[in-house]
Amino acid sequence: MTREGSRGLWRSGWLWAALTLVVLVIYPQLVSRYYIVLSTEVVILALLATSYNLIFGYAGLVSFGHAAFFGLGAYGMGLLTKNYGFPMLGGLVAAPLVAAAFAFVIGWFCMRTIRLYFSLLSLAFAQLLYVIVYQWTSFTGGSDGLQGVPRPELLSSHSSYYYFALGATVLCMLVMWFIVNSPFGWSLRAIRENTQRSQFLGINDRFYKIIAFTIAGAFAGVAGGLYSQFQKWADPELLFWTTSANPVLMSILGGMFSFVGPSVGAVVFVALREIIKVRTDYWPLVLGAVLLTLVLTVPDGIVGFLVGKARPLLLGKKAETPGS
Amino acid sequence: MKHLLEIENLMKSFGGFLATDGVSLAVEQGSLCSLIGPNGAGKTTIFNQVTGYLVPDSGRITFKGEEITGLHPYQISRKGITRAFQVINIFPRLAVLESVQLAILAKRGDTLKFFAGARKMVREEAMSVLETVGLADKAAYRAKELSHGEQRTLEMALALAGNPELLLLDEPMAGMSPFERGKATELIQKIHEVRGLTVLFCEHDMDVVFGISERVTVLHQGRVIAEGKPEDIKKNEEVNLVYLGQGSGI
Repeated sequence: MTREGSRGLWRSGWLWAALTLVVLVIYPQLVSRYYIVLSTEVVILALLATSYNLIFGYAGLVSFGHAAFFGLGAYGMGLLTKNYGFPMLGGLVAAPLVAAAFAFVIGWFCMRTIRLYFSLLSLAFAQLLYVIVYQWTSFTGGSDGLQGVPRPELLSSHSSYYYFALGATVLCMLVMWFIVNSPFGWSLRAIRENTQRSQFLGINDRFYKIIAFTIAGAFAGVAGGLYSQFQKWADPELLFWTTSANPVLMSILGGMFSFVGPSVGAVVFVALREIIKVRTDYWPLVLGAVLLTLVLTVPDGIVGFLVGKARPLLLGKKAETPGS
Repeated sequence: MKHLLEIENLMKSFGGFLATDGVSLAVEQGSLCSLIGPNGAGKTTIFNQVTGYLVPDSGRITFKGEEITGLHPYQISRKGITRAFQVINIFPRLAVLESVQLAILAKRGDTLKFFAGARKMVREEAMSVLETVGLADKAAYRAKELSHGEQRTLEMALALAGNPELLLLDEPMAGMSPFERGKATELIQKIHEVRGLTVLFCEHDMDVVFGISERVTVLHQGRVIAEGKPEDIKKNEEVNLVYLGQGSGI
């Protein structure tokens, strides 16, 4: 293989993606049930964080209400399959559509405001939905959550559900990867970098942001649907503002200017939680300290840091560094 | 003579301050025109109204015979009016080539494609814009890695992308060294002559203004006080009085 050819492979990232996938497929055969369950959670949270990063890292919108769409997906999936007899795959398609519909309406209102006002309005809408789910006991199960979300016989084992969640996540990631590399995805980055200039180039930024918010809501809905089926129940907590913080932290931790950053952030986040949790009850305190250190030392996140270090070595010179 | 852009009796006030006080002006198809006036004369305010960033209180703006008053900037851009800014207004983290590709796609209304690979789209066209402005060797750099002068050039490339019909340049030479000014002046003449582009620019450097403009419009306190060929403007007493300074002898 020529030097140029191997560089191309390194650069494309497809090789890395394929290798990662091979590892993700093989390793559950080698580890205990505990790790399989944990990995399932990581895979679902990675999907949630990547969906969030469409609006956070790509469009530059700091939403504090992403849990709303995760929760709507979870409850949507649970209610549709449990109470309305939807088949599993039907539920997994319909639940994100419900989340997307809400995201479109909420996005439409939120995009009338900018920056902090946008963030607070997104938080307010999510809290509103949380309160509705919490209070509407007859429909949602209220504070007890929605018990007994069904899972088909085929997916009853831990490892089979892991593979199912992995497959769904990989599919969604692939779609999102195409979106961020399309003219639409580039437009989002342009809006993030300079909203005013993007308008003068011919981009209707408000409309694009609403579309991005809707797409992100739909994929968060898929993650939520997978999550409630994985847990076999949905909990109002899924819509609570503390849940909204998780994808923000994962994106920052892994690197918001990279497509895989939020997924790496999800892995690190869950790993930290598991490592610290067995040693102290104050795990959020330790997590906070770790996050603070990382944000101060590697502001572009773990992936951003590694890419920044690796590119000059791979490319020979810094000048060839393409845009994020 | 066909007018590409016509502004009729444009009014815009901020609070009690009349920034544009009944301005009328016309830009002929294929011409190179300039707008001058002391600071605060209302040059940028007019650009902001033509490009849709500000909505006029009254008056009409027509482009190719079609009224565009009050349209949104993204709509006006797609009709063929683009703008380069007085301050650097670029996309810092995007690569130079990417920025220009995006500018072309946006101008054409091709940015609502969700699954096409943007990297391979309009690549040659974007490179040809970069070659015109002389930034081709910096195509892979991120915009924030460019020097100040190069960033101004990229600003121009963004405005040039996608073949606009009218280019508005807001003080294209501001903050440039004499050497860069020379190159920028050449570039403006080149795009005007080679691409046949209609250009309207405002600028404080009088050597540039009188050196390359075919028509000059002078603004003072939101009004047009003179309009004509550079030679006539130089001789105009009112212009000399309010703007160029008494007996400045330009």
